[in-house]
Amino acid sequence: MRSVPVGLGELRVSRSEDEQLCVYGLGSCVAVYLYARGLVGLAHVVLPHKPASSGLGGELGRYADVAIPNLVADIERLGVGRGQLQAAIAGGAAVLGFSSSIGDHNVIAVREELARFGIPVTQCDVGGERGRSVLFDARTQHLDVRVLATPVGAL
Amino acid sequence: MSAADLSPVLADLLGVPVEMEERPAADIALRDLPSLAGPPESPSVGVYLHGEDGPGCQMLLVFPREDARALGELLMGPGVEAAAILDVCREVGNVLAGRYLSEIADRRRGRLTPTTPQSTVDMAGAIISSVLAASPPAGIRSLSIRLQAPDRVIGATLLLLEAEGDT
Repeated sequence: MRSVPVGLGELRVSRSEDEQLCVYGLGSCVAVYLYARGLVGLAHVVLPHKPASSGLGGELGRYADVAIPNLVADIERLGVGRGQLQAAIAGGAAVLGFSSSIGDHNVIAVREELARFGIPVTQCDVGGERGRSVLFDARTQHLDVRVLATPVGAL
Repeated sequence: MSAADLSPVLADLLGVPVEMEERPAADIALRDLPSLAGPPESPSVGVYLHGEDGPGCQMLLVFPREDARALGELLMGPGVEAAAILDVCREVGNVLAGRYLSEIADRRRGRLTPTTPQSTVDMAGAIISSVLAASPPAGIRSLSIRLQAPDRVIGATLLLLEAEGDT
């Protein structure tokens, strides 16, 4: 199985069961996997909403309200309808204990977009104060989440 | 504010030679932010501060876990406890932030003091992306720090975000 990291603000779709789309060191960002039999897509969402002032360019996966429609469109172009998709989401942590967490807003925006497309969230590991690494096994369709064990004590 | 301005501040505090090098901002892409201080999963200590006038000017100092321990031992001796290591890292962040914000305050002809440092131990990528995700890469400055301790080099990464108008 080959791990394929997806960077901040990027989208990727894979039809290979030998590829494992992943994000290492996820903090307030949210990894949004959309999957169906034989296909997995991943958006590495950084912020909830695209500002009205920003142009058309930029990373397609950066904002939840742009990333999810684009990911759904990419998948539908491959012949898989949105009705066949399920979602697995992870991330949205408040690392460093920021009181007003971007992570929470990201998770809310992601859920709203998924609901708009009628895509159910079937696997979820969000919030908290710890970073995560996430990997999705295309064969088992299982989301694997890793965190640091006892981070402070391990110093 | 240049690397040359900050190096003597740190050398005075720690009593060891310090080298700093700035990575050109043009080389920093959004997708690469979590890797600015090394592999994104690597256990690290992050220290975050900003100016008391709001989060316009921000500073994030990231030590790989082993380097944070080495820094703690350099200042406190062998067998230093985790809480003391975090104290040392926060103090280094506080001193650097004080110098950084003081220079910006001079430019503004005002006063700017740092907030109390917040710290955590987590994956480097999680720490960095949580602080910098909302900032365009063009506004981020990345400096690598090398402290020449008697028995090893201690590395860290200093990330500076200047408010619009302060650049």
